Formats: sequence, C-alpha cells, structure tokens
Amino acid sequence: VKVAAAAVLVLGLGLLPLVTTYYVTYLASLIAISAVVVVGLNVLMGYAGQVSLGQAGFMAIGAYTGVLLAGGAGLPWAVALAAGGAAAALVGMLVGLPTLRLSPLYIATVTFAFGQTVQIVLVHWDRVTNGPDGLTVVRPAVAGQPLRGVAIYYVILAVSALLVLGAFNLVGSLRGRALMAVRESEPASLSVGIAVSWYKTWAFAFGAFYAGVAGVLYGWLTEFISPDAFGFDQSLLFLTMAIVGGLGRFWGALVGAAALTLVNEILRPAGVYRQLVLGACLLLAILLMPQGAWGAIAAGWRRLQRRTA
Amino acid sequence: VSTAWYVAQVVVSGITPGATYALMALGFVLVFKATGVVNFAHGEAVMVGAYTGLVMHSELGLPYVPAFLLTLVVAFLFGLLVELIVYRPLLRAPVVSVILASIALGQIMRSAVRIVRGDDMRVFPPVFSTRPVAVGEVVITPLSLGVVAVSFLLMAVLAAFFRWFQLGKAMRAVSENQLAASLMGISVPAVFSWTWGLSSALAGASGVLIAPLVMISPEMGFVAFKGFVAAILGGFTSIPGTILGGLLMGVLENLAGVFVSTAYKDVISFLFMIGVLAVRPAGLLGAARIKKV
Repeated sequence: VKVAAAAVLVLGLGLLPLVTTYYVTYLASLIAISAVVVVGLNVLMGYAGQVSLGQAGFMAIGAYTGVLLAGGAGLPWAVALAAGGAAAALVGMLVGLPTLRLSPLYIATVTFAFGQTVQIVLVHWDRVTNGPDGLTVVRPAVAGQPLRGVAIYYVILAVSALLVLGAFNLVGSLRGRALMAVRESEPASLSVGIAVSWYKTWAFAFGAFYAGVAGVLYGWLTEFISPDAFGFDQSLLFLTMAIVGGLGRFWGALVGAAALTLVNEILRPAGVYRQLVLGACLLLAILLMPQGAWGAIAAGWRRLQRRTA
Repeated sequence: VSTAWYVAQVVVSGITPGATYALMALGFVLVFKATGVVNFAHGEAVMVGAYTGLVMHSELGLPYVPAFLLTLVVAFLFGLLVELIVYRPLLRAPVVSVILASIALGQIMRSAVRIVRGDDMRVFPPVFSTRPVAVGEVVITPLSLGVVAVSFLLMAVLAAFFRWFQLGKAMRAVSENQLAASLMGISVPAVFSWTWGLSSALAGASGVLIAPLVMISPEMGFVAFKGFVAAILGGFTSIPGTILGGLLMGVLENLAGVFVSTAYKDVISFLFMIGVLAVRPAGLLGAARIKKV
C-alpha cells in the first residue's frame, strides 16, 4: 500500500502541470515550500519537544541571504540555496543556545522576540534589504535563461522532496530517537548518555535550516520578497500547520501544510476573516484533535482494520 | 539644559510606558500564580477592555465611573466564558498546548474586533490630566503619574489578596499542587473560574487606564508582549519584581531610543531580555526553582 501510495503521489505531482493551470502548480509549489518549513518545525517541536514562534524569521534570513548572494554577489544558485539554509541554521543555533536552560514558556517568548527582531532589522537596514519595499528575486538560470513557469515548479518539488526524505530518515535514526528521549525526559536522557544541550541546539539549527532553504525557494517562486511575507502571522501559520497535522507525526506535517496552505490561499480575498478562520483552526485543533489530523486518520484506519479483520 | 537634567527627563519619560508594561505584567502574573499557565491573549483582553470602555463612555454616553465599573463586569463575565470554553478542557494538557490555545484565542479576538470595528485608531478621554507639570527641569504629565500610582495600588492589592484572602490562598494552593488542593476541599474548577474572571477584569481595567496613553486599535494588544517581558525580568511570580521589571523596561527602551537608535529600541529590549534569561533564568528578583524528576 505504501509503495503504491508513494508512486501515485510522485506520478500525480509530476504530471500535475500537464493537466492543470499555472495557478494550481503555483499552489502546489507553495504547499511544497510550507511542507519543508513544517517538517523542520515538526522535528523541533514534535520530536525534540521545543517550541518556536519565530519560524518565519529563519525563513526570511534564508530568503534574503539567497537573494543577496545570487542576485547581488552573482554566486551560482545552488550555492545561494545552501548558503540560505546555512545562514538560517547558524542563527538558529544562536537562538537555541540561550534557550537551553529555559522552559517551553520562555522559549516561546525568545523565539517570538527573535521573529520580531528580524522584522525590525529587515525594515530598517534598508541599505542591504531595501526596507519595506523588498527585493526582486532573480530565478535560477540554466544556460543563461532564467527558469520559467513549470520548470521552477519541478526544481522546488525536487528540493522539497529531498529535504522531506532527509528528515524522514533522520526521525527513524538513532539521532531521531535521541531527540524524542530529550522530549520525554531531560534528566533520564542525560543519565543514559544523551548530550541534551547538543541535541536541543541541533534541533533548533535543523528547523532553521529547513526554514532557510524554504525561504530561498519561496523567493524563486514569487520572484519578490519583502518583510511582510515573514511576519508573526506567517510564523503562526506554520505553527498551525504543524499542530493541525499532528506534532510528532511525520506525515502529519505534510497534511497540515497542504490543508492550511489551501485554506490560506482560498481565503486570501476574504481579508480579516482569513485570520479569524486560521485562529479558529488552531484553537479547534488543540481542543478537539490533540493528536492532530494524522493522529485522527491513524486512529480511524486502525478502527477500520479491526472491523474488517 | 544641562546633560544631567536631560538624562533625568529621558528616564522619567520612560516611566510612563514602563508603568503600562508593569500593569500588563500583573495580568500575566495573576494567571500564572494561580494556574501555572500563561495567557498570551491577555493583550487582546486589554484591547477588548479598551473598546468596551470606549463604547460605554464615548458612544453610549455613560459617565466615567459607571462606564468603568460596567467594563469591569463585562470583562469578568467574558473571562468566565473563555475559561469554560477554552481553558477548562485543557486542564491536563501540556503547557505548550495551553500557550498555543491562548495565542489562537488572541488572534480570534483581534480579527473579530477588526471585523466589527475596523482598523481605525480611536482616542479615549484620559482619566488624569495630560497637561505637563515641571519638576525642576523635568516635565511629567499627571496622567503618567496616575498610571504609575494605579499600578502600585493594584500591586499592593494583589499582594495582599494572595497573602491574606481565602481565595488568594486557594489559588496559590491550586498552583502548587492541584490534587492536594482538591483533597483539602478546594474546588479547583471554581478557583480556575475566579482566576480567569479576575484576570480578565484586570485586563479590562488596564485597557481603560492605558487607552489614553496608546491609541485604541485592534493591534494595541501587542503592547502586552512588553508586559510579558517585564514579568519575565521580574521573575514571574514576584509581584514587586514585576513592577520593577516593567519600569526598567520602559526606562531602558527610552534611553536606548534616545542614545542608540529609535528604530532599534525594541531590539535592544529583546536582547536585554535574552541576556537576563541566559544569565538568570529565574528573572532578576525570582528565586531559582529546581526541577524535580
């Protein structure tokens, strides 16, 4: 079943541009980018048990680094992509460091303050970032021609798929289990020789790296970035995706990213009502589905199997 | 004007926002002391309080005092309602869930007010005069002094409440150990209802008080984050520490705004908070709590 589902998914996504409009591939790209951020966030929150209210800040660092290196300094786009992730990961580590001794409550505060700080810096450091007016992004070029339309969709899809698979392998590895041990009990983890501080810092860097790469991809997709795209609302949206999908449920992150990207884009013309609906989604998910959508799906699947057996 | 007077003026001007932060911080501390969770929708409760006051006083034309008291009642009932719908089901949920639920609630309240009232800024007539008074060469408005005085008054009331009143003691007991408290005959749900009702009423009062200082808008609740930082600086459970943290934040921000950069003054206060947390995770006046396995 799993292999068949994966094959259908790959085939469907691959053939998508042939059967639909550009807008649908745009939405699919956006979902892929959000999925990368949320998968990273899920490792940080769901597996390592930390919390981040500033994930969009890491995304911004990646996006701006990518643009400045590829557009300004003229570096190859693959380098810009990696550098965007690396810059975000470095900052993520720095943000993770002071939170080592703190409870989730304080970590939430520090990461929120971090997100706000990024906003303020982006707006005011206008010599580099062009302030609130933002920057135009030059898409990666193949043989001197910038990629257009459908081509960029395939690039984004490929990079995202690679990152998601990377995270999937991580979660099943020794390192992934060490992260979960840290989440369950820090003293117990310490006593069996897990370097708690290292893993927590590392989880922050990991989540930030994913957000940073996603930021570069986002720039490529929209060809324009500005501080507005990376505010607290955006951080909260990623958080909602992670919660709705189910914290600590690997595939839930994808479900949450897909569902809420669609809700967010469909409601875009509805203005303020969009914020109301997103807030309600988060609250209802916490109150009614503590395990997230993926948890609910898994429970339903088990029930079904038991009934047929 | 000599430099010393100038610095003094900058410090004194910082007391006004500082008192606002302290007032916000008290709301966080009240809920935290009683329930062990943090209400990130407190700023939005303050915002709703300010709008309620605005409607009662400026639009329905009620005199100041009845409008203020009615706002308190409305806010109290609103707090009870929120506790029943949102926080009661999360009694045994992990801290992160409660934090996120309150953030979601804040967003719902913010967008609901934006839908109903629009994005316009509103002004609110001040309780105390805004005509500046000179002390030496330092200028201060009675309004800011008033807000400082009320913050100190509320601080004293809260401290006394937690120390001597049955309900305050029950709240402390519940935050210490819910099971033990209920075995001693304390009704935990009742204590929770009271806590959220009171904190909401406090938010309503804060909203009306600070409304003349900051413009009333759906986004005004974000000022509460500064209050939250103030509470952290103060050590979160210490009421005097909270006031100190608020005033310190206000003064520090003002100094940073004048002597470093206006654009980056928020960044500086965030860095200050992160610095304090890195060195003294329990806050400036808080006692270190040892985590037991």
